[in-house]
Amino acid sequence: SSWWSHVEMGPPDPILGVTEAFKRDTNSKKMNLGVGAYRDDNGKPYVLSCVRKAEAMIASKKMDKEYLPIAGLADFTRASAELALGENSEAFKSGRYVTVQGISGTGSLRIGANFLQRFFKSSRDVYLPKPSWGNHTPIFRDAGLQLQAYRYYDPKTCSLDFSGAMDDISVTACCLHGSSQPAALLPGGVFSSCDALSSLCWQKRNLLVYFDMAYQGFASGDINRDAWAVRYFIEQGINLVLSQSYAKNMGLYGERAGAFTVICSDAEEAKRVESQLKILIRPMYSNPPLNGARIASNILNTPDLRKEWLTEVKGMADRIISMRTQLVSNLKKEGSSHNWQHITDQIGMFCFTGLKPEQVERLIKEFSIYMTKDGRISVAGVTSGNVGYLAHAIHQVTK
Amino acid sequence: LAAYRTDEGQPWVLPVVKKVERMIAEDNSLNHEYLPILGLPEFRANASRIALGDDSPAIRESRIGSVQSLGGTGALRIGAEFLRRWYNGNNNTATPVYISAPSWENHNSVFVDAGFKDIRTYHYWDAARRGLDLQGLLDDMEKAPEFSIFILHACAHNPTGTDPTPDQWKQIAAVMKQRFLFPFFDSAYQGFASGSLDKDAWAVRYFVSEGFELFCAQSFSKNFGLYNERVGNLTVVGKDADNVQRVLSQMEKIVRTTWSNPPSQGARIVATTLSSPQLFAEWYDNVKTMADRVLLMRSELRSRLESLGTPGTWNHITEQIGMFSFTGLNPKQVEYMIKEKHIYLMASGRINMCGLTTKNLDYVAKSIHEAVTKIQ
Repeated sequence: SSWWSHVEMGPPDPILGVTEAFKRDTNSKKMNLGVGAYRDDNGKPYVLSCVRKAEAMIASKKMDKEYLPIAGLADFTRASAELALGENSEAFKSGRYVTVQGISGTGSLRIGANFLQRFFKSSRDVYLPKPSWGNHTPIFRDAGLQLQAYRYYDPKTCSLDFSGAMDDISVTACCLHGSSQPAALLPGGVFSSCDALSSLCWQKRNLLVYFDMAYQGFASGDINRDAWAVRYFIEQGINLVLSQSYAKNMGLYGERAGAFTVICSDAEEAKRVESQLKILIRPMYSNPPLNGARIASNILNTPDLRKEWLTEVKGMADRIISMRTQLVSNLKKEGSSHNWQHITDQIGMFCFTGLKPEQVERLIKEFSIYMTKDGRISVAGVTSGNVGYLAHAIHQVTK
Repeated sequence: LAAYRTDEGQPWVLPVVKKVERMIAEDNSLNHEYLPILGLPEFRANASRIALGDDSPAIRESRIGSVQSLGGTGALRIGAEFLRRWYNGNNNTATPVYISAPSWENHNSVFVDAGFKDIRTYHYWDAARRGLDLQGLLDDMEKAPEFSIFILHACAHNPTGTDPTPDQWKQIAAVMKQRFLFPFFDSAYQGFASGSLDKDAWAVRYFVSEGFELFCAQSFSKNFGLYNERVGNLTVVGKDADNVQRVLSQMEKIVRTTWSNPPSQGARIVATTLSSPQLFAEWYDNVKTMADRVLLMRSELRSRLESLGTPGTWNHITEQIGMFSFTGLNPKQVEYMIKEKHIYLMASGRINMCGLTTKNLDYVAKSIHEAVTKIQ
């Protein structure tokens, strides 16, 4: 007999399951709108030109493979902090922050979650927006915290339920977490105006705000605009914590480049916090992988490459925005009488279409268009070649 | 942190690694897309094959699984997190975990952070005899509660460099089988220790042949010199394919909340190398270069100490294996080495053999001689 006879089969990952089914489908018109990875207008993965250049630079330097420090590549973490906070940020210039390299967005979130579990004394509760990225919940739960939710997305209007959020957050006195960006919100890309968000919870000084910034630059095409909320909160005196990912905005998905930042009272506190973060990281994986961080660092720290990156990331964002526009206009052309404004109001890689599970199932079965049951689509999977087909199919299942 | 150094005292990027990196850089069909959660399939299969052997019955019977991990540490952590959730009942944090005295200091932290509440040590190093305390080890295993988890160093024990002989491993396995103890191997030096992959994997393969279900955390940091790419693999050996499949499905959930999916660069390098006979041979040669240099430094140091007539016996220097050696110097002698001779050892007397070069051998030997004769 086995030690593992009682081990249950884990359920398949809801998002990967979509891709698995997509792969098995033989329909030539099939579309995979579940994948959270950018595709060009030919539906192909896109390696940024600035990434290729950075890689060539790195290869020519013939560097060694020695272990990184536990906190990661210093040039990378510093540039990452500056990218998020802004070069003129008082918090950045005074050094009252610590940024450690993390394993892309997930790893950075997890370090932060573990840190909060160990050092956030006020509460065990983490509030996530409803809905949020599916992996947020298990990450915080595995770190030993408890999950609560605040209203965020109103399915009736397909936009932000601002008053609902305010009500739920007012009630809490503890840890607020979420993809609370004014720009891209996974999975809905719901755009909330900067004005509205500026009054959201900054008065609640007993709340710890945790930003998950996975799309800086990728959402609106402007890195400063996408970081507005983070910077505003800090300016208002909120010492927040922040996860960053370079998976989407630099296309570095499998290289796992990310960072976790804690804004502190002063540089001395930052040093103490850093020492504790290292104590958390060492028994997890000792020190982080170099490749992705070195590429990102080269790009951020080399003026020409940085400029090229900003252009390319805008290009990706623009293509997504244009697909949103084309989808809406195609739906109109199909004769759809529904209001699809939310498709162009929302921002980022994903869109909460408002489609119901039965409609999603028809899209999968009858049209080979794959998405998650909640009606979320990855706009990155839409191209000028298939947007017409998509609009046609959506109209068929909603008319 | 411990890393290999050349005879010039420099880090060494393996020639085969440089070659494969160039191949990867020139391959325009490659991109930076996400790997699957459990890692690059070609890496996982090859990595486990290296540990278990081409002719492994477990591989033949399809009852192995692999999880690409962030270095050996990452593999240990995923294994520990899984065991805490699913071994010896569900979420049993009370299962004792035994770690050798001494061991790599991070072992303790890995299992504590994974949630285990009862971490114990088992006898390992006999300071008086400067060797393995086999009887103490076996006694601890006999007395350990059934189902306890034992962390075993597959080869090149860190920090003592002292491994059980095959015969001693057989005795260890017999007791573990009898007491239903779980073997969790840490294999960070396969190939790097003796120059032979098979020799350095003997213990793991023996346990597999004895029918054990086990975990083996592998690191490719040292034997591929890929330290900062974080290339590791957790090999799972189970009773049958069905059990292994369920185990992997649960490990996948653990990975998903820890790092989602692993970094691709290092895994690609290793997979490309291991799956090509030509590149594999080149790699084997590079590994042997490193192992041979360390073995040479060991024999050279020992012969110098014996020529100098340094008091005590020094055969342990060549009997020990791997990157580290427990010299037997006491803390006062170590202090002398550091302060007066600027030779850096751990307070335990542990020396990193990779720090020795043909240029500094004489100086190190003379310094040890002085420390031992001047300080008691």
